[in-house]
Amino acid sequence: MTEEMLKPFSLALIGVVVRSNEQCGRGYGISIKSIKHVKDMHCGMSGVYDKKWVYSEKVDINTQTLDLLSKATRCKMYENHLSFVAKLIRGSADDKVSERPVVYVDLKADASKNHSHKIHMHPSNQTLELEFVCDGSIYNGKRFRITIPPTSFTLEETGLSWTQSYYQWCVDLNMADIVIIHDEFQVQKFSEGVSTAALFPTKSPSFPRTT
Amino acid sequence: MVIDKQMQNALSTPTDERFQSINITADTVSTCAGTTVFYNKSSNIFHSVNIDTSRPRIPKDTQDSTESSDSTSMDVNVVEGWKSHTSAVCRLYGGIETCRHVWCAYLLVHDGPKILLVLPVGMQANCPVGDKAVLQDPADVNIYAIPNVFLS
Repeated sequence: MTEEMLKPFSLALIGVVVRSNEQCGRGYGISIKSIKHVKDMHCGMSGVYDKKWVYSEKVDINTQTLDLLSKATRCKMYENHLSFVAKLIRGSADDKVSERPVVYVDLKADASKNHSHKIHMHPSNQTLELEFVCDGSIYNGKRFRITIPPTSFTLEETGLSWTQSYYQWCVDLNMADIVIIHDEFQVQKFSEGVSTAALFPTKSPSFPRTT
Repeated sequence: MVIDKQMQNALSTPTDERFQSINITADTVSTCAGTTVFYNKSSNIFHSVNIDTSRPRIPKDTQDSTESSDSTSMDVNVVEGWKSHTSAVCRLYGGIETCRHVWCAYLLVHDGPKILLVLPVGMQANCPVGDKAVLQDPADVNIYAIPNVFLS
């Protein structure tokens, strides 16, 4: 891995090895053997992973993690993943959120379609920010720095002002998906401009001729 | 979206000086396809798209002719893919690659006839080079052939 690869929403395949049962029980039973960066793909891409594993913006992260880890699996040795993975992910048994899950917001979904999200230009004129305005969302009132996938536009020529207007138009029409890498520390400590989100206009609708 | 006289006037004389006028006349109105994508009843705000359907537009070539005739650089650019469309909707700017054919369109936000946003965009009119290659199926292809002959 190089510094160039370490960007928000970079995608990597991580090879892991499971150690002994005893070590797994103590919370350090998994060791990472390899990390392979996947070029030209990012973790906001549709189809990269099953949507059932992504988090919702409507329920607090801790509850969702506990629900996920307590689900029964095909593993014969444990009733669920909780005892096996919890310590590895959390580092401790308390409710402090230390994981950084992918939170996926489908603006077309009933739960998320009523909102007043705003796209702002950061005062530095170098980044766009997404202001979450949605009652019932854990991110209501929070701001996120928007990561624009490098394959979306020829960004240097397109410019942020046009992108801001285009994104706002798409968000107003719920024609976009929002992907957030949740960072509990940043979300709690800062009110704006630190956590990252990516915004992906969904496929353009067909426009029938109605003049 | 009805592009009536009132809307034609509103588009040709937008009150917000950020936006440039769009002149739609009785002669050209038949080449405009206007669609209201979303209407907010409570605020009376329309989100619409107006597409010039007269013809797909080809960006003007602003590059040095010697550069464009350089086959090596062309090949490299095609392989990299940045000359082709990467998005269904894009901004149109001077120097945009000539192989990106687009429909000229405007994303509109309006309160009745009052124009709140006119964002010119290009809508992808031709497939990216890579996609074309995928879609063209050689006539004699046998998809069930054992592939050993292609492999070392």
